[in-house]
Amino acid sequence: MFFPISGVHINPLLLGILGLVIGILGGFFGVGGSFISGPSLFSLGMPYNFVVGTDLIHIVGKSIVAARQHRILGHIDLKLAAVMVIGTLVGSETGVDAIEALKRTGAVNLVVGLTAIIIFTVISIFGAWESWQALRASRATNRDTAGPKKDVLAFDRLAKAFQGFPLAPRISLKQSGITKISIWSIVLVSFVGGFFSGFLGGGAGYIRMPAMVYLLGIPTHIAVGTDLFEIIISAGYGSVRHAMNGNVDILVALVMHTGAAVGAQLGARLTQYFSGPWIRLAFAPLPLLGAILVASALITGHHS
Amino acid sequence: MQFILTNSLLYLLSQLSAFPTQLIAVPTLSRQILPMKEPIQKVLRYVAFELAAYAVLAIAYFYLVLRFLGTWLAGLFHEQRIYYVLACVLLMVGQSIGLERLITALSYVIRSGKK
Repeated sequence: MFFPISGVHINPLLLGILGLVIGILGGFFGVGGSFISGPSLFSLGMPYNFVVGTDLIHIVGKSIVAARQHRILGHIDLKLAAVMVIGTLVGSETGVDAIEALKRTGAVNLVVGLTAIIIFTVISIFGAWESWQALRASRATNRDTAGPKKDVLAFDRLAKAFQGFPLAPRISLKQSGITKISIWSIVLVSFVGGFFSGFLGGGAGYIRMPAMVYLLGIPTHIAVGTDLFEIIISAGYGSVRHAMNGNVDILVALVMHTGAAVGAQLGARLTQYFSGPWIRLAFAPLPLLGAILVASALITGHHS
Repeated sequence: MQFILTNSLLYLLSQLSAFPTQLIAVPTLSRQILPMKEPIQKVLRYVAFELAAYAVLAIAYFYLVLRFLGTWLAGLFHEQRIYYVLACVLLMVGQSIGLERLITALSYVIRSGKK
């Protein structure tokens, strides 16, 4: 079928199925899924500038559906999301500026590619190791960790350090079970997430979700739901910017979203059946997949 | 036709304005009943039914969207970018709300039919 805005012929059923897969991943892990949808749209023949903008607006739609489901399940910490939005927007702008600066040096693809490979690999290996340790610990103590507030972390030293950061103002996050935490800790973590969103593209949920768990000590279920809620605002802002620059094919996004909407609800519902460490363990290979895709793009010269 | 269009637009606008409140509102008792934890096999069976019914509706829907909105949106994209941006946001948010409601309704109908 012909899509007149981006000028490509794509089978809409393929788009629907792609949306469904990304929707399930998004609802379950709280990620946008751009590391899969970006290369997939690119391989279907869409120009790269349209890939970035179209993917982003589709992420907004999918996140609205998934966040609503997580809200019903009690997985969204609104106070945390509100503070995170500030850091994410500033970080995103800084990331875009860094890309522009690198473009002037002519080494943008190599630097961004290598940064992505290193970060994705570290997150993947650390996430797999930590969640495996947490599963072993919860088995040893026979603890039920299936609820959103019963999470177990094998490595909580960083979270304790971030929560103990004394700089005022300090707030309590009742929904996340945190009595006191400095706003600056939250802003710093969200700034880093936003920076990589602008620097590497997509929603950067694969960085923000683990950062919320390991650095802020947010229970995994709440991190997934809150990340999705925050993505609505940050990806919405990015979508408007891209649409203004003519990088959004809304027809492709709407077709993809028909699959993503049902996938997002399914993924969100599935989180009820898995404990935090299991969700984190299942999440661990995803950044590695992203690293492999980036590495292959660097090697073959297709910078997707 | 104009009456239907006006009413559809008014309905969409009322849903759009109500959705942010519903998204951040504390879940009520009736909403808490919806995600009650069921055996995973039962959930997967319901999901298969939901997917089958939803796929038919979704395919019909996106053929309609492409047929009726394609040319109009392409025109906006090339000539009136601001209106195109506005249409993008409204369409995506509107579709998200519409599909979320549709999936919830399908889920309710299929589950109540199976009980």
